[in-house]
Amino acid sequence: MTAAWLLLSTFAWAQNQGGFIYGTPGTRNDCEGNAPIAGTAGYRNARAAITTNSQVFSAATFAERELFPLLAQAAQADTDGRFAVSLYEQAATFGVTDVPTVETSYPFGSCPQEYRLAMRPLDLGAGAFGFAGRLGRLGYFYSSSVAFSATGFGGSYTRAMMSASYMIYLPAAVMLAPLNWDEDFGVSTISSDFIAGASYNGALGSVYAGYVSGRGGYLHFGEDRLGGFASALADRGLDERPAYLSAGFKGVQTPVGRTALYGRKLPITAPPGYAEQPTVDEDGNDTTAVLPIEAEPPRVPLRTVHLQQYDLFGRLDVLAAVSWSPEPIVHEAMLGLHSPGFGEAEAGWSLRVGTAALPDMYYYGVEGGNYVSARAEFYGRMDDDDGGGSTRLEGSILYNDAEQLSLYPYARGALSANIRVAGRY
Amino acid sequence: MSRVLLFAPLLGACSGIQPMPPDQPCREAGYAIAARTFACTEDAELANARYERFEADYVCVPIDLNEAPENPANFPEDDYFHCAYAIDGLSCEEVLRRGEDLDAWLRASNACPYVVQRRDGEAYWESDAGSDTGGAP
Repeated sequence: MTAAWLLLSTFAWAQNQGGFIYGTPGTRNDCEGNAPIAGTAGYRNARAAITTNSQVFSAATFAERELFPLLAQAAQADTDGRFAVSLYEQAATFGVTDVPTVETSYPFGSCPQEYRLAMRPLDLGAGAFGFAGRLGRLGYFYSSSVAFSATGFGGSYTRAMMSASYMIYLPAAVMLAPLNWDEDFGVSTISSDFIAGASYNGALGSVYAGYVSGRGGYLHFGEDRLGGFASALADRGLDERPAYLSAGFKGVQTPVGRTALYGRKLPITAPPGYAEQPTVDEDGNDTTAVLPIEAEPPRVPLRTVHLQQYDLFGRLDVLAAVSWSPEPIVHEAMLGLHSPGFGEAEAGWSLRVGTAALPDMYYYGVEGGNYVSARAEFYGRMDDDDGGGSTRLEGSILYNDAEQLSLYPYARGALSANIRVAGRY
Repeated sequence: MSRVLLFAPLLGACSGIQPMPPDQPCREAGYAIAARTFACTEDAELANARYERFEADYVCVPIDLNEAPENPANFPEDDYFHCAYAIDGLSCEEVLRRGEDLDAWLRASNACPYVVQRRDGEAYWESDAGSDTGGAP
Protein backbone atom coordinates (compact mmCIF):
# COMPACT_ATOMS: atom_id res chain seq x y z
CA MET A 1 0.00 0.00 0.00
CA THR A 2 2.82 2.34 0.95
CA ALA A 3 4.66 1.52 -2.28
CA ALA A 4 1.56 2.26 -4.35
CA TRP A 5 1.13 5.57 -2.55
CA LEU A 6 4.75 6.52 -3.19
CA LEU A 7 4.36 5.62 -6.88
CA LEU A 8 1.22 7.73 -7.17
CA SER A 9 2.97 10.58 -5.37
CA THR A 10 5.86 10.38 -7.82
CA PHE A 11 3.53 10.61 -10.80
CA ALA A 12 1.71 13.50 -9.13
CA TRP A 13 5.03 15.30 -8.64
CA ALA A 14 5.97 14.66 -12.27
CA GLN A 15 2.62 16.02 -13.38
CA ASN A 16 3.20 19.19 -11.37
CA GLN A 17 6.72 19.59 -12.75
CA GLY A 18 5.99 19.12 -16.38
CA GLY A 19 2.90 17.07 -16.92
CA PHE A 20 4.82 14.29 -18.65
CA ILE A 21 7.57 12.17 -17.23
CA TYR A 22 9.64 12.46 -20.46
CA GLY A 23 8.93 16.15 -20.79
CA THR A 24 10.30 17.49 -17.55
CA PRO A 25 10.79 21.24 -17.71
CA GLY A 26 14.24 22.54 -18.53
CA THR A 27 16.20 25.55 -19.63
CA ARG A 28 18.04 26.33 -22.86
CA ASN A 29 20.90 24.21 -21.45
CA ASP A 30 18.68 21.24 -22.20
CA CYS A 31 18.43 22.02 -25.93
CA GLU A 32 21.10 19.50 -26.79
CA GLY A 33 19.29 17.52 -29.47
CA ASN A 34 19.76 20.16 -32.12
CA ALA A 35 20.49 19.79 -35.82
CA PRO A 36 21.92 22.52 -38.08
CA ILE A 37 19.66 23.59 -40.96
CA ALA A 38 21.31 23.19 -44.35
CA GLY A 39 20.69 25.82 -47.00
CA THR A 40 21.17 28.68 -44.54
CA ALA A 41 23.99 31.22 -44.47
CA GLY A 42 24.92 30.12 -40.96
CA TYR A 43 25.35 26.53 -42.12
CA ARG A 44 27.50 27.58 -45.09
CA ASN A 45 29.54 29.92 -42.87
CA ALA A 46 30.03 27.18 -40.32
CA ARG A 47 31.35 24.79 -42.93
CA ALA A 48 33.68 27.49 -44.27
CA ALA A 49 34.87 28.41 -40.76
CA ILE A 50 35.66 24.79 -40.04
CA THR A 51 37.79 24.60 -43.18
CA THR A 52 39.56 27.88 -42.42
CA ASN A 53 40.20 26.89 -38.81
CA SER A 54 41.80 23.65 -39.89
CA GLN A 55 43.94 25.55 -42.42
CA VAL A 56 45.03 28.40 -40.14
CA PHE A 57 45.85 26.06 -37.31
CA SER A 58 47.21 23.39 -39.57
CA ALA A 59 50.63 22.08 -38.77
CA ALA A 60 52.17 23.87 -41.79
CA THR A 61 50.71 27.27 -41.02
CA PHE A 62 51.60 26.91 -37.38
CA ALA A 63 55.19 26.15 -38.32
CA GLU A 64 55.42 29.21 -40.57
CA ARG A 65 53.63 31.57 -38.22
CA GLU A 66 55.22 30.55 -34.94
CA LEU A 67 57.89 27.87 -35.15
CA PHE A 68 60.19 29.28 -37.86
CA PRO A 69 60.29 32.82 -36.41
CA LEU A 70 61.09 31.29 -33.03
CA LEU A 71 63.91 29.33 -34.60
CA ALA A 72 65.23 32.49 -36.26
CA GLN A 73 65.21 34.28 -32.91
CA ALA A 74 67.08 31.41 -31.32
CA ALA A 75 69.67 31.55 -34.10
CA GLN A 76 70.50 35.15 -33.17
CA ALA A 77 71.09 34.18 -29.54
CA ASP A 78 73.03 31.02 -30.34
CA THR A 79 76.83 30.75 -30.19
CA ASP A 80 77.74 27.20 -31.25
CA GLY A 81 75.26 26.51 -34.10
CA ARG A 82 73.43 23.72 -32.24
CA PHE A 83 70.13 24.64 -30.69
CA ALA A 84 66.44 23.70 -30.60
CA VAL A 85 63.08 25.25 -29.87
CA SER A 86 59.66 23.88 -28.96
CA LEU A 87 56.25 25.49 -28.90
CA TYR A 88 52.70 24.68 -27.84
CA GLU A 89 49.66 26.79 -28.72
CA GLN A 90 45.95 26.65 -27.91
CA ALA A 91 43.30 28.88 -29.44
CA ALA A 92 39.55 29.26 -29.32
CA THR A 93 37.14 31.52 -31.17
CA PHE A 94 33.68 31.90 -29.72
CA GLY A 95 30.67 32.83 -31.82
CA VAL A 96 32.31 32.79 -35.25
CA THR A 97 28.85 32.53 -36.83
CA ASP A 98 25.26 31.82 -35.78
CA VAL A 99 23.88 28.58 -37.12
CA PRO A 100 20.10 28.16 -37.48
CA THR A 101 19.20 24.93 -35.71
CA VAL A 102 16.12 22.89 -34.93
CA GLU A 103 15.63 20.91 -31.74
CA THR A 104 14.90 17.45 -33.07
CA SER A 105 14.37 15.86 -29.66
CA TYR A 106 11.04 17.69 -29.20
CA PRO A 107 8.62 16.82 -27.62
CA PHE A 108 10.59 14.33 -25.54
CA GLY A 109 13.25 16.74 -24.39
CA SER A 110 13.20 19.54 -21.90
CA CYS A 111 14.12 22.25 -24.39
CA PRO A 112 11.77 25.25 -23.98
CA GLN A 113 9.49 25.86 -26.97
CA GLU A 114 11.02 29.27 -27.78
CA TYR A 115 14.38 27.62 -28.46
CA ARG A 116 13.02 24.88 -30.70
CA LEU A 117 14.06 26.94 -33.70
CA ALA A 118 17.16 28.82 -32.59
CA MET A 119 20.30 30.65 -33.62
CA ARG A 120 23.19 28.74 -32.14
CA PRO A 121 26.74 30.19 -32.01
CA LEU A 122 29.55 28.10 -33.46
CA ASP A 123 32.76 27.84 -31.45
CA LEU A 124 36.12 26.89 -32.93
CA GLY A 125 39.07 25.39 -31.11
CA ALA A 126 42.59 24.37 -32.04
CA GLY A 127 45.84 23.20 -30.57
CA ALA A 128 49.28 22.81 -32.11
CA PHE A 129 52.68 21.58 -31.00
CA GLY A 130 56.03 21.78 -32.73
CA PHE A 131 59.76 21.56 -32.36
CA ALA A 132 62.68 22.50 -34.57
CA GLY A 133 66.42 22.62 -34.35
CA ARG A 134 69.67 23.23 -36.19
CA LEU A 135 72.88 21.31 -36.36
CA GLY A 136 75.09 23.74 -38.18
CA ARG A 137 73.72 24.53 -41.65
CA LEU A 138 71.21 21.70 -41.57
CA GLY A 139 68.10 21.52 -39.47
CA TYR A 140 64.86 19.68 -38.83
CA PHE A 141 61.30 20.58 -37.91
CA TYR A 142 58.06 18.90 -36.94
CA SER A 143 54.65 20.06 -35.85
CA SER A 144 51.21 18.54 -35.33
CA SER A 145 47.84 20.13 -34.82
CA VAL A 146 44.18 19.48 -34.07
CA ALA A 147 41.32 21.77 -35.06
CA PHE A 148 37.71 21.26 -34.06
CA SER A 149 34.32 22.95 -33.91
CA ALA A 150 31.05 22.64 -32.05
CA THR A 151 27.85 24.58 -31.66
CA GLY A 152 27.88 26.05 -28.19
CA PHE A 153 25.93 24.71 -25.29
CA GLY A 154 22.67 26.48 -24.61
CA GLY A 155 23.52 28.68 -21.64
CA SER A 156 26.42 31.11 -21.30
CA TYR A 157 27.94 29.55 -18.18
CA THR A 158 27.61 26.00 -19.45
CA ARG A 159 29.23 27.02 -22.71
CA ALA A 160 32.16 28.69 -20.93
CA MET A 161 32.73 25.80 -18.55
CA MET A 162 32.54 23.14 -21.24
CA SER A 163 34.98 25.12 -23.39
CA ALA A 164 37.39 25.32 -20.47
CA SER A 165 37.15 21.60 -19.85
CA TYR A 166 37.92 20.48 -23.40
CA MET A 167 40.93 22.76 -23.49
CA ILE A 168 42.39 20.71 -20.64
CA TYR A 169 42.62 17.48 -22.62
CA LEU A 170 43.50 19.16 -25.92
CA PRO A 171 47.31 18.74 -25.47
CA ALA A 172 46.93 14.96 -25.48
CA ALA A 173 44.90 15.14 -28.69
CA VAL A 174 47.59 17.29 -30.35
CA MET A 175 50.30 14.75 -29.51
CA LEU A 176 48.19 12.02 -31.14
CA ALA A 177 47.41 14.11 -34.24
CA PRO A 178 49.55 12.01 -36.63
CA LEU A 179 47.01 9.21 -36.16
CA ASN A 180 44.69 11.32 -38.34
CA TRP A 181 41.51 10.55 -36.43
CA ASP A 182 39.34 13.00 -38.33
CA GLU A 183 35.57 13.20 -37.96
CA ASP A 184 33.19 15.41 -39.87
CA PHE A 185 29.54 15.63 -38.81
CA GLY A 186 27.57 18.67 -39.93
CA VAL A 187 29.03 21.56 -37.97
CA SER A 188 30.70 19.44 -35.27
CA THR A 189 34.05 18.36 -36.64
CA ILE A 190 37.59 17.50 -35.73
CA SER A 191 40.62 17.37 -38.02
CA SER A 192 44.27 16.67 -37.40
CA ASP A 193 47.50 16.79 -39.38
CA PHE A 194 51.25 17.06 -39.10
CA ILE A 195 54.24 18.34 -41.06
CA ALA A 196 57.80 17.12 -40.94
CA GLY A 197 60.81 18.25 -42.89
CA ALA A 198 64.34 19.55 -43.09
CA SER A 199 65.86 22.98 -43.37
CA TYR A 200 69.01 24.54 -44.74
CA ASN A 201 70.38 27.73 -43.29
CA GLY A 202 72.40 29.68 -45.85
CA ALA A 203 73.92 33.13 -46.06
CA LEU A 204 70.67 34.77 -47.26
CA GLY A 205 68.29 32.93 -44.97
CA SER A 206 66.68 29.58 -44.34
CA VAL A 207 64.85 27.24 -46.66
CA TYR A 208 62.32 24.83 -45.16
CA ALA A 209 61.04 21.89 -47.21
CA GLY A 210 58.51 19.48 -45.81
CA TYR A 211 55.54 17.23 -46.34
CA VAL A 212 52.10 17.98 -44.94
CA SER A 213 50.07 14.88 -44.17
CA GLY A 214 47.32 14.38 -46.71
CA ARG A 215 47.88 17.70 -48.50
CA GLY A 216 51.19 17.75 -50.31
CA GLY A 217 54.49 19.55 -50.40
CA TYR A 218 55.45 22.70 -48.55
CA LEU A 219 58.24 25.20 -49.20
CA HIS A 220 59.16 28.26 -47.16
CA PHE A 221 61.97 30.80 -47.29
CA GLY A 222 62.78 33.01 -44.34
CA GLU A 223 65.27 35.88 -44.24
CA ASP A 224 66.35 35.93 -40.61
CA ARG A 225 68.04 39.30 -40.08
CA LEU A 226 65.45 41.74 -41.49
CA GLY A 227 62.43 39.55 -41.00
CA GLY A 228 61.68 39.26 -44.70
CA PHE A 229 59.66 36.27 -45.76
CA ALA A 230 57.86 34.62 -48.64
CA SER A 231 55.83 31.50 -48.50
CA ALA A 232 53.36 29.43 -50.40
CA LEU A 233 51.14 26.57 -49.37
CA ALA A 234 49.93 24.31 -52.12
CA ASP A 235 46.70 23.23 -50.48
CA ARG A 236 45.09 22.11 -53.73
CA GLY A 237 48.15 20.51 -55.17
CA LEU A 238 51.39 21.98 -56.37
CA ASP A 239 50.03 22.73 -59.84
CA GLU A 240 47.46 25.30 -58.63
CA ARG A 241 47.91 28.88 -57.52
CA PRO A 242 48.65 29.17 -53.80
CA ALA A 243 45.71 30.06 -51.56
CA TYR A 244 47.73 32.29 -49.28
CA LEU A 245 50.53 34.63 -50.26
CA SER A 246 52.36 37.25 -48.27
CA ALA A 247 55.60 39.11 -48.62
CA GLY A 248 57.35 42.02 -46.94
CA PHE A 249 59.29 42.96 -43.83
CA LYS A 250 57.85 42.44 -40.40
CA GLY A 251 60.38 44.10 -38.14
CA VAL A 252 62.91 46.66 -39.31
CA GLN A 253 64.48 48.85 -36.62
CA THR A 254 64.06 52.50 -37.58
CA PRO A 255 64.87 55.77 -35.74
CA VAL A 256 61.28 55.97 -34.49
CA GLY A 257 60.95 52.37 -33.38
CA ARG A 258 60.21 49.15 -35.22
CA THR A 259 58.49 49.32 -38.58
CA ALA A 260 56.66 46.62 -40.49
CA LEU A 261 55.52 46.87 -44.10
CA TYR A 262 54.03 43.95 -45.93
CA GLY A 263 51.38 42.91 -48.41
CA ARG A 264 49.07 39.97 -48.11
CA LYS A 265 46.58 38.05 -50.21
CA LEU A 266 43.94 36.12 -48.35
CA PRO A 267 41.26 34.18 -50.19
CA ILE A 268 37.58 34.97 -49.62
CA THR A 269 35.93 31.77 -50.66
CA ALA A 270 32.49 31.80 -52.24
CA PRO A 271 30.17 29.66 -50.13
CA PRO A 272 29.27 26.50 -52.05
CA GLY A 273 25.65 25.47 -52.33
CA TYR A 274 24.48 22.36 -50.52
CA ALA A 275 22.07 19.80 -51.93
CA GLU A 276 20.98 16.27 -51.24
CA GLN A 277 23.15 14.01 -53.34
CA PRO A 278 22.41 10.31 -53.63
CA THR A 279 25.41 8.10 -53.08
CA VAL A 280 25.89 4.41 -52.47
CA ASP A 281 28.73 2.86 -50.49
CA GLU A 282 30.78 -0.20 -51.45
CA ASP A 283 28.21 -2.55 -49.93
CA GLY A 284 25.35 -1.01 -51.90
CA ASN A 285 23.88 0.83 -48.92
CA ASP A 286 22.19 4.18 -49.52
CA THR A 287 24.44 6.92 -48.14
CA THR A 288 22.52 9.90 -49.51
CA ALA A 289 23.63 13.06 -47.75
CA VAL A 290 23.54 16.87 -48.01
CA LEU A 291 26.87 17.69 -49.63
CA PRO A 292 28.52 20.72 -51.30
CA ILE A 293 27.64 21.21 -54.96
CA GLU A 294 31.01 22.75 -55.75
CA ALA A 295 33.95 20.74 -54.48
CA GLU A 296 36.26 23.71 -55.02
CA PRO A 297 34.25 26.95 -54.93
CA PRO A 298 35.81 30.07 -56.46
CA ARG A 299 37.94 32.42 -54.42
CA VAL A 300 38.07 36.19 -54.54
CA PRO A 301 41.34 37.52 -53.15
CA LEU A 302 41.32 40.06 -50.33
CA ARG A 303 44.52 42.01 -50.94
CA THR A 304 45.83 44.18 -48.14
CA VAL A 305 48.87 46.35 -47.46
CA HIS A 306 49.94 46.72 -43.83
CA LEU A 307 52.01 49.54 -42.34
CA GLN A 308 52.75 49.11 -38.68
CA GLN A 309 54.83 51.37 -36.49
CA TYR A 310 55.69 50.03 -33.07
CA ASP A 311 57.39 51.68 -30.07
CA LEU A 312 56.64 55.33 -30.82
CA PHE A 313 57.96 57.20 -27.75
CA GLY A 314 58.70 53.77 -26.36
CA ARG A 315 55.03 53.10 -25.53
CA LEU A 316 52.74 53.66 -28.53
CA ASP A 317 51.86 51.50 -31.55
CA VAL A 318 50.04 52.69 -34.66
CA LEU A 319 48.76 50.11 -37.10
CA ALA A 320 46.98 50.62 -40.38
CA ALA A 321 45.97 48.35 -43.20
CA VAL A 322 44.28 49.16 -46.48
CA SER A 323 42.61 46.71 -48.80
CA TRP A 324 42.31 47.49 -52.51
CA SER A 325 40.56 44.34 -53.61
CA PRO A 326 37.66 43.54 -53.71
CA GLU A 327 37.16 47.27 -52.97
CA PRO A 328 39.30 50.04 -51.47
CA ILE A 329 38.37 50.38 -47.81
CA VAL A 330 40.26 51.12 -44.63
CA HIS A 331 40.72 47.64 -43.38
CA GLU A 332 42.23 48.38 -40.00
CA ALA A 333 43.14 51.42 -37.91
CA MET A 334 44.37 50.81 -34.38
CA LEU A 335 46.10 52.72 -31.62
CA GLY A 336 47.95 50.81 -28.96
CA LEU A 337 49.70 51.26 -25.65
CA HIS A 338 52.19 48.82 -24.22
CA SER A 339 54.39 48.39 -21.19
CA PRO A 340 57.93 49.81 -21.35
CA GLY A 341 60.30 47.56 -23.24
CA PHE A 342 57.46 45.40 -24.51
CA GLY A 343 58.97 42.37 -26.17
CA GLU A 344 62.39 42.88 -24.58
CA ALA A 345 61.55 43.03 -20.88
CA GLU A 346 60.93 39.83 -18.91
CA ALA A 347 57.20 40.52 -18.80
CA GLY A 348 54.88 42.89 -20.57
CA TRP A 349 51.43 43.76 -21.77
CA SER A 350 49.87 45.52 -24.72
CA LEU A 351 46.39 46.87 -25.40
CA ARG A 352 45.11 48.10 -28.78
CA VAL A 353 41.74 49.59 -29.65
CA GLY A 354 40.51 50.71 -33.04
CA THR A 355 38.18 49.89 -35.89
CA ALA A 356 38.04 47.27 -38.58
CA ALA A 357 35.97 47.69 -41.71
CA LEU A 358 34.55 45.12 -44.06
CA PRO A 359 32.22 45.44 -47.06
CA ASP A 360 28.69 44.09 -47.27
CA MET A 361 28.76 40.35 -47.70
CA TYR A 362 25.17 39.21 -48.09
CA TYR A 363 26.43 35.97 -49.56
CA TYR A 364 27.65 35.29 -46.02
CA GLY A 365 24.44 36.66 -44.51
CA VAL A 366 26.18 39.69 -42.98
CA GLU A 367 26.18 43.45 -43.47
CA GLY A 368 29.36 45.45 -43.75
CA GLY A 369 30.36 48.40 -41.62
CA ASN A 370 32.84 49.66 -39.10
CA TYR A 371 33.37 47.43 -36.12
CA VAL A 372 34.97 48.24 -32.81
CA SER A 373 38.12 46.22 -32.54
CA ALA A 374 40.28 45.39 -29.53
CA ARG A 375 43.31 43.28 -28.82
CA ALA A 376 45.03 42.56 -25.50
CA GLU A 377 48.31 40.69 -25.18
CA PHE A 378 50.56 39.66 -22.32
CA TYR A 379 53.73 37.63 -21.89
CA GLY A 380 56.27 36.52 -19.34
CA ARG A 381 59.75 35.05 -19.86
CA MET A 382 62.18 33.12 -17.71
CA ASP A 383 65.81 32.85 -18.79
CA ASP A 384 68.18 30.13 -17.63
CA ASP A 385 70.93 31.32 -15.32
CA ASP A 386 73.60 30.30 -17.80
CA GLY A 387 71.84 32.09 -20.65
CA GLY A 388 71.59 28.93 -22.69
CA GLY A 389 67.82 28.72 -22.84
CA SER A 390 64.55 30.37 -21.94
CA THR A 391 60.84 29.68 -21.53
CA ARG A 392 58.16 32.13 -22.60
CA LEU A 393 54.43 32.19 -21.86
CA GLU A 394 52.17 34.50 -23.82
CA GLY A 395 48.50 34.99 -24.45
CA SER A 396 46.07 37.21 -26.27
CA ILE A 397 42.38 38.07 -26.39
CA LEU A 398 40.96 39.44 -29.64
CA TYR A 399 37.60 41.05 -30.32
CA ASN A 400 36.65 41.91 -33.91
CA ASP A 401 40.35 41.94 -34.62
CA ALA A 402 41.29 42.49 -38.27
CA GLU A 403 43.13 39.19 -38.31
CA GLN A 404 39.95 37.39 -37.23
CA LEU A 405 37.78 39.24 -39.73
CA SER A 406 40.17 38.50 -42.57
CA LEU A 407 40.00 34.81 -41.83
CA TYR A 408 36.33 34.66 -40.87
CA PRO A 409 34.74 37.61 -42.71
CA TYR A 410 31.26 36.59 -41.54
CA ALA A 411 32.35 36.71 -37.89
CA ARG A 412 30.90 39.80 -36.26
CA GLY A 413 31.46 40.02 -32.53
CA ALA A 414 33.62 36.93 -32.33
CA LEU A 415 35.91 36.63 -29.33
CA SER A 416 39.20 34.75 -29.61
CA ALA A 417 41.55 33.62 -26.87
CA ASN A 418 45.01 32.27 -27.50
CA ILE A 419 47.82 31.01 -25.29
CA ARG A 420 51.36 29.88 -26.22
CA VAL A 421 54.26 28.32 -24.36
CA ALA A 422 57.65 28.42 -26.06
CA GLY A 423 61.02 27.03 -25.05
CA ARG A 424 64.56 27.54 -26.36
CA TYR A 425 67.31 25.11 -25.53
CA MET B 1 22.55 50.98 -45.19
CA SER B 2 23.26 51.57 -41.53
CA ARG B 3 26.91 51.79 -40.58
CA VAL B 4 27.22 51.46 -36.87
CA LEU B 5 29.91 50.68 -34.39
CA LEU B 6 28.99 47.37 -32.90
CA PHE B 7 29.57 46.65 -29.24
CA ALA B 8 26.42 44.58 -29.01
CA PRO B 9 27.82 41.49 -30.75
CA LEU B 10 30.11 40.93 -27.77
CA LEU B 11 26.99 39.62 -26.10
CA GLY B 12 26.61 37.26 -29.04
CA ALA B 13 30.10 35.89 -28.58
CA CYS B 14 29.48 35.16 -24.91
CA SER B 15 25.81 34.29 -24.87
CA GLY B 16 24.27 30.95 -25.59
CA ILE B 17 21.57 30.11 -28.10
CA GLN B 18 18.94 32.69 -28.99
CA PRO B 19 15.38 32.26 -30.28
CA MET B 20 15.23 32.47 -34.06
CA PRO B 21 13.92 35.77 -35.51
CA PRO B 22 10.53 35.18 -37.19
CA ASP B 23 11.81 36.49 -40.54
CA GLN B 24 14.93 34.30 -40.59
CA PRO B 25 13.66 31.74 -43.17
CA CYS B 26 12.82 34.63 -45.52
CA ARG B 27 16.19 36.34 -45.17
CA GLU B 28 17.87 32.99 -45.69
CA ALA B 29 16.22 32.82 -49.11
CA GLY B 30 17.81 36.16 -50.02
CA TYR B 31 21.18 35.09 -48.65
CA ALA B 32 20.96 31.90 -50.68
CA ILE B 33 20.35 33.91 -53.87
CA ALA B 34 23.45 36.00 -53.11
CA ALA B 35 25.55 32.97 -52.21
CA ARG B 36 24.66 31.02 -55.35
CA THR B 37 25.26 34.12 -57.48
CA PHE B 38 28.74 34.52 -55.99
CA ALA B 39 29.59 30.84 -56.31
CA CYS B 40 28.46 30.62 -59.95
CA THR B 41 29.58 34.01 -61.29
CA GLU B 42 32.57 34.80 -59.02
CA ASP B 43 31.07 38.30 -58.85
CA ALA B 44 30.67 39.43 -55.23
CA GLU B 45 29.22 42.82 -56.22
CA LEU B 46 26.50 41.19 -58.33
CA ALA B 47 25.71 38.87 -55.42
CA ASN B 48 25.24 41.81 -53.06
CA ALA B 49 23.20 43.73 -55.64
CA ARG B 50 20.78 40.83 -56.04
CA TYR B 51 20.26 40.63 -52.28
CA GLU B 52 19.58 44.36 -52.12
CA ARG B 53 16.99 43.95 -54.88
CA PHE B 54 15.48 41.07 -52.92
CA GLU B 55 15.13 43.35 -49.89
CA ALA B 56 13.67 46.16 -51.98
CA ASP B 57 11.17 44.16 -54.05
CA TYR B 58 10.00 41.55 -51.55
CA VAL B 59 8.62 41.50 -48.02
CA CYS B 60 9.14 38.82 -45.41
CA VAL B 61 6.25 36.85 -43.95
CA PRO B 62 7.05 36.27 -40.25
CA ILE B 63 6.75 32.63 -39.30
CA ASP B 64 4.94 31.36 -36.24
CA LEU B 65 7.67 29.65 -34.26
CA ASN B 66 5.04 27.54 -32.49
CA GLU B 67 4.08 25.96 -35.80
CA ALA B 68 7.49 24.75 -36.82
CA PRO B 69 7.34 21.44 -38.68
CA GLU B 70 7.86 18.29 -36.68
CA ASN B 71 10.88 16.95 -38.51
CA PRO B 72 12.59 19.60 -40.62
CA ALA B 73 15.63 17.37 -41.00
CA ASN B 74 13.78 15.72 -43.87
CA PHE B 75 13.07 19.06 -45.56
CA PRO B 76 9.46 18.51 -46.65
CA GLU B 77 8.39 21.06 -49.24
CA ASP B 78 6.08 22.82 -46.78
CA ASP B 79 8.99 23.45 -44.44
CA TYR B 80 9.78 27.11 -43.81
CA PHE B 81 13.42 26.55 -44.73
CA HIS B 82 12.79 24.57 -47.88
CA CYS B 83 12.79 27.83 -49.85
CA ALA B 84 16.40 28.68 -48.91
CA TYR B 85 17.41 25.04 -49.12
CA ALA B 86 16.05 24.65 -52.66
CA ILE B 87 17.72 27.88 -53.85
CA ASP B 88 20.99 26.85 -52.22
CA GLY B 89 20.84 23.59 -54.14
CA LEU B 90 20.45 25.16 -57.60
CA SER B 91 23.10 24.16 -60.08
CA CYS B 92 25.13 26.89 -61.76
CA GLU B 93 23.27 26.21 -64.99
CA GLU B 94 19.98 26.92 -63.20
CA VAL B 95 21.47 29.97 -61.51
CA LEU B 96 22.62 31.50 -64.80
CA ARG B 97 19.25 30.77 -66.41
CA ARG B 98 17.40 32.63 -63.63
CA GLY B 99 19.79 35.58 -63.74
CA GLU B 100 18.08 38.82 -62.65
CA ASP B 101 14.60 37.25 -62.51
CA LEU B 102 14.19 36.97 -58.74
CA ASP B 103 10.65 35.59 -59.16
CA ALA B 104 12.20 32.66 -60.97
CA TRP B 105 14.67 32.14 -58.12
CA LEU B 106 11.78 32.00 -55.64
CA ARG B 107 9.94 29.46 -57.77
CA ALA B 108 12.63 26.95 -56.84
CA SER B 109 10.38 25.76 -54.01
CA ASN B 110 6.68 25.69 -53.29
CA ALA B 111 7.60 26.76 -49.75
CA CYS B 112 8.82 30.23 -50.76
CA PRO B 113 5.37 31.88 -50.67
CA TYR B 114 5.07 30.83 -47.01
CA VAL B 115 7.98 33.08 -46.05
CA VAL B 116 8.39 35.75 -48.75
CA GLN B 117 5.94 37.77 -50.87
CA ARG B 118 6.37 40.40 -53.53
CA ARG B 119 6.14 43.89 -52.08
CA ASP B 120 3.69 44.92 -54.83
CA GLY B 121 1.34 42.11 -53.85
CA GLU B 122 1.68 40.19 -57.10
CA ALA B 123 1.90 36.43 -56.77
CA TYR B 124 5.20 35.37 -58.28
CA TRP B 125 4.24 31.72 -58.60
CA GLU B 126 0.99 32.12 -60.58
CA SER B 127 2.50 33.35 -63.81
CA ASP B 128 5.08 30.61 -63.97
CA ALA B 129 4.06 27.93 -66.41
CA GLY B 130 7.45 26.25 -66.56
CA SER B 131 8.67 26.44 -63.01
CA ASP B 132 10.73 23.74 -61.37
CA THR B 133 8.16 22.71 -58.82
CA GLY B 134 4.83 23.91 -60.04
CA GLY B 135 2.11 26.02 -58.51
CA ALA B 136 1.35 27.82 -55.31
CA PRO B 137 0.83 26.09 -51.96
